Amino acid sequence: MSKPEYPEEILGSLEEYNIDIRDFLPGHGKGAKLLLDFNKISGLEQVEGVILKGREIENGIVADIIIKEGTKIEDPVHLCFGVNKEKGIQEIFPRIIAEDNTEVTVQAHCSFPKANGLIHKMFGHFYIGKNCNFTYSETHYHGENSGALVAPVGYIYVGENSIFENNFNLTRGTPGMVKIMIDIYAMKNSVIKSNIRAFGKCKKDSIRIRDSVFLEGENARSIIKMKAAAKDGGEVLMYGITEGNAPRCNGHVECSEIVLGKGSICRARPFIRAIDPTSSVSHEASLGRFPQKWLDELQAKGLTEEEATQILIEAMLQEE
Amino acid sequence: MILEVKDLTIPTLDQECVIINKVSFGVKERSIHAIIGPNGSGKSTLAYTIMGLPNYKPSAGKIYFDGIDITNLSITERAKLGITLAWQEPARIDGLSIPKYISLGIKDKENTKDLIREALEIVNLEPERYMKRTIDESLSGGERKRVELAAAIAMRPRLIILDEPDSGLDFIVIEDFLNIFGKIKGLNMTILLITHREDIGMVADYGTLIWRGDSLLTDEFPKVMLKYCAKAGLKEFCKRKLFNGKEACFDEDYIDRIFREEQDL
Amino acid sequence: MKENTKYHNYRFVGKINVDEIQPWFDFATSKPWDDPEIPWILDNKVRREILIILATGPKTFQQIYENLNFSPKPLLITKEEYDCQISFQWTKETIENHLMNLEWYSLIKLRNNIFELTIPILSTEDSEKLENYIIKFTENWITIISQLKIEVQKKLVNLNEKTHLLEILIEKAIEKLYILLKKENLIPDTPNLKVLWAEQLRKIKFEEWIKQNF
Repeated sequence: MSKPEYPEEILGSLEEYNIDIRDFLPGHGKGAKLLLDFNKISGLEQVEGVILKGREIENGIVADIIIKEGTKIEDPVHLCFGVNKEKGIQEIFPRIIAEDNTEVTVQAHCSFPKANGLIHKMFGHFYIGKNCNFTYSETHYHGENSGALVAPVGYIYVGENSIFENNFNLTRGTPGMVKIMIDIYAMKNSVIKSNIRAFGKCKKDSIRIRDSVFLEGENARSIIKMKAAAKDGGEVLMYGITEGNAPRCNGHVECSEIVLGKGSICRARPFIRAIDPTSSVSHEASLGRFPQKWLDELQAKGLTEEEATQILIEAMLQEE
Repeated sequence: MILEVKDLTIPTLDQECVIINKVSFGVKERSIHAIIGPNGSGKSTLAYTIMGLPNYKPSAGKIYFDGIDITNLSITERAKLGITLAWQEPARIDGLSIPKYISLGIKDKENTKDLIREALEIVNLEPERYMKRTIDESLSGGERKRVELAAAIAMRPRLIILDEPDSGLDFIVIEDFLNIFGKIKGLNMTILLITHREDIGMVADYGTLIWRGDSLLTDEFPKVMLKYCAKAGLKEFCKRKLFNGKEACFDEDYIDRIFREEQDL
Repeated sequence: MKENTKYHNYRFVGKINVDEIQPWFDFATSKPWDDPEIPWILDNKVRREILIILATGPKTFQQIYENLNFSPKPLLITKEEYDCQISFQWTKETIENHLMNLEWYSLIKLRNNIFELTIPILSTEDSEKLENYIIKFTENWITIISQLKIEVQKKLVNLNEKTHLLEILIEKAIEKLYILLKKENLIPDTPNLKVLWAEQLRKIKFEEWIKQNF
């Protein structure tokens, strides 16, 4: 693999999330990698047990990422979809297949540091076989102008006895207009953990997230945790849907949202449906401001109310 | 006096009733000063008012810290002057790590790590274990209280208000806490200790008895304790438990006299 | 009763308007009136897949069960390079739950152990054919509206200055169109949900129910 010329600004934004940028550079470290610089594949590295293929299309790429049966990878598969321009359209169509008995972490990073009219769309399909342990972490950085329009959609099928963890982080920079839709179908004995964190910082930020888990197999379990903050006119709307369609499945949705400043809007709509009579689904939602007691506790250590609120937001939106 | 409270009156939020009525007392620097009294006497209200919490505003009277009138200062301003409060039931906040929490009040940012470690050691929590944890539901009640104390200690305030530090703890842990108070005093801090338990209060040098919103006595702690027992009619308890054996500060005759005076009142 | 306590501050002061009681319950269908016609039921891809299976014709349970599985197909990697072995098969209990849901919302019905659709599901081909006719209708309407627009503006010049006259005119024309189409038997005589506000519709159904039952 020849030395790539990957834009510094794209990789630099990773540091906001305490991610070591060198992990994303081809030729550095271990792990399969796919790097996109706008609509050009600027880096692709394979490892044993992983088939990675990408093809550029008019406004983006199509990619297949296949983890072969029995493969257990220690080093994450890195996907970096960066755009170093203000405007443009980037469309990504990934198809990720993890065969039976695999263990893998996929770390995706979408960075648009100069976005000002940029459109990013993703339509991904994930198929996770039986007895797998699959973690998918996606971190986003959309610059400081609220100038991005980002719409990722994911359909995820999780096979029997598998564990799937989904982490989505949009807490640094200004998000812009974001619409996320994730549908997860959980088969027998599978476990789904979905953690979503988002922070809308100004009037131009609007974040709408719909995270659905359909428990389709006996004893499937899930927990969706959605945490968001909206300040200075930002808007966050979270739909957390859990359906118990199979016997003895168990799901929980937790929404926590903090509203700061005039004009900020936070809405949480947990939808829980127990279709099978032996299933059990629950939800908790708390919206508004932090309990006064928490603010008092921190202020008694010399922090102002703004500083205390900032600390609490960071704690709430912290990756677990 | 590092803290002086003069004729402080604190009403309920709707101003209908008076919780603390013209209370006055002074706290000597580098001492442990206990505020004692039965449940509902207004001790915690007094503590929160001294700290400046938003819903605790006096309707009359003054509070002076180091000679400065702090009656109308905000909680943050008072904390910056060197007052802090360790809560009776500290909050559990998911995602906030123990080191981060303890470091919030530290002014000397260059030595943050050392101050955190030292504070954890003073409260008998192993730094190696607890530096990696968060102040969430996984901490037991005792652990959470110790972390709260550690945060207060690391701040190196001039005055720490401890609001019922013993609540929810078993007797073995309480012995431990009494040792911790001694260590805090050794760091040249003043402690204002809110408690309704006599065994906790006995570490104090001085005390103030709050009885149904009124301050009845401010003096050396054993005298205040004796007055408390006399008010409550607990003579045998007083003789047997508190002022007996080698730690007795008063003889039986003196105790009997104080109880008689109280009865005559 | 006069009172001089602090509670007086919390007493309601003002005119009390008791409106007629709106039934939240739709007597005609025995369902809550504000339930959307096709609600959350289609959130789930499995139920959508069942409807697509039935769109090819009525099926027995066994036939639905055998057809309901998902297997991935890579977009770029060919079968020669890689042959995917995984698939996701639904159990009978889960499929029964989904079918029960679809039945409850009247999207399918069960007759003699055979499931069939109650709503039309168009194939892409049919949908495109339909689209052609939608275009034909609207193109004709645009011709008529542009011809009449100038005349309307001349005749109703006062109104025109203050209101979005053309928009109102077109909305009202569509309402009238539905009424006339029903009169001519060109469409079935059922309430047009787009035209009637929810309250109106409830009121109409309530009155009809009263007529039928009392």
